[in-house]
Amino acid sequence: MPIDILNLPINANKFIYQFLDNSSLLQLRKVSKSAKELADFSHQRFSNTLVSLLEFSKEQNKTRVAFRYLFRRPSASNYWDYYASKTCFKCAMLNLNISVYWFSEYRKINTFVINCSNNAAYLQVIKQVKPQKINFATQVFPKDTTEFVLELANQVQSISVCYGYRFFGDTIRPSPNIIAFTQEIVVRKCENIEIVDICSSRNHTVADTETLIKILHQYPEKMLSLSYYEDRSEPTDDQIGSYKLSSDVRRWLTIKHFGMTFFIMIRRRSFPYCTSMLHLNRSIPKSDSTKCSAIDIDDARLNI
Amino acid sequence: MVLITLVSSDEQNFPVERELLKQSGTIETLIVNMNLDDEDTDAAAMPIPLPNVKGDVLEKVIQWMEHHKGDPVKEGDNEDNNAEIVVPQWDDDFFKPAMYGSKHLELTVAASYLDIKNLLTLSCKAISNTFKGKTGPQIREEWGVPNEFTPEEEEAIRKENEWSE
Repeated sequence: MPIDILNLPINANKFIYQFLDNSSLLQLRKVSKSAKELADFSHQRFSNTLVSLLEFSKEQNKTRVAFRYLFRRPSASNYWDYYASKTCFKCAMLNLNISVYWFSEYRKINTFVINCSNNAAYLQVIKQVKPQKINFATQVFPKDTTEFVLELANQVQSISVCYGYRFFGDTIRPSPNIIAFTQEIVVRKCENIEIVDICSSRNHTVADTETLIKILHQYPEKMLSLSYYEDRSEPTDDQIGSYKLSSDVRRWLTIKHFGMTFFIMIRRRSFPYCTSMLHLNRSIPKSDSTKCSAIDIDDARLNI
Repeated sequence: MVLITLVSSDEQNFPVERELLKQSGTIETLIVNMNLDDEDTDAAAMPIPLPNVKGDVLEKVIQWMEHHKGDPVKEGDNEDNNAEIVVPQWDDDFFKPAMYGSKHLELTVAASYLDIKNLLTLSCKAISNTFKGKTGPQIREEWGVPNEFTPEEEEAIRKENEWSE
């Protein structure tokens, strides 16, 4: 039986692929299925990688972007949104003149981290990598960062923005008003938006909540989740349109919008962590009531 | 000069100088296990069968070992050094006539089987050199690889690659 180039012993293949530069590896991915597997394998003992998430975090004067992706073993077929090989990552970084990057692994989720100097470079990477979701977490949120996040919302299908957190003793940092920010971000291409404003110094009013609900109503095609801190001195029992809201003091208020069904969730901030589901008495037809099962409690520490 | 006889899969005998065979990890192990280095052993009477190597390929391997007689034998993988390896002119000329053909590949497989690290490294380097600067379809054509991708799969790979090309 004649030997073919793609069926050499594994140690021979290892040498061959090791000698190749990234462009040649990319071309080999087009030769055949086994060559593609080997090209991907050459950098990692897994066949493919999956970009599941891109995390951007900006803390004080430090910035970093983390591409979180999952290696896929040949026998596995889970979590497919978008995948690319490590080879591709390396090439992309080379083309973007980004030389400082590394791969790490935590709980089988492999993270690709780069450091570069400005938002424009990050944006370029994001445009190239095309992640489905971006998690953006930041302490500082000046105007230029706001514009950057709004541009990100044009690039991806799903974005989560968390801002306003600070460490004990930190001074208050600038952050956008959630109403203005929501109005801006909701018109972007992004379909699934989550905003978590944990700037505890801000005092949102019932009128703010009403404005936000109106915004949500204007964009029924978007999946929206808004969380912000309501700092009330008294328990409330409010009515907003067909929604009846009630809350205790100092709790998180979360408004979620799944289609045209609203969920409002209040979280108590202080220890012990607990939450009470809150109402909302929007007149939901019985046939739609199953949508309520979409309520998402995302913090395991919370007790309903 | 001690000669050791190698027997190819097609029953051809190749008497080879003992010193040359130090380059092959596989043969070296067999020599030790068969006590062929013992003064009391009649090495000439104990040929070493190599059922995975054909005569014409074994002949080329011996030719290569004769040229590289006395070269330091490579230990381990030394991956860090491999990236900078340059195929010497003699070796380039040695591989060239068989390039893109099954002979070169058979030589590579033999180098792997016989554990001749330097030959394997240079042979693989020569193969990888043929990929450089070529497109996927060009590589496929030169090495006679059939196209097994569907148009949809080709498109998917093109999309994966496009932002890094």
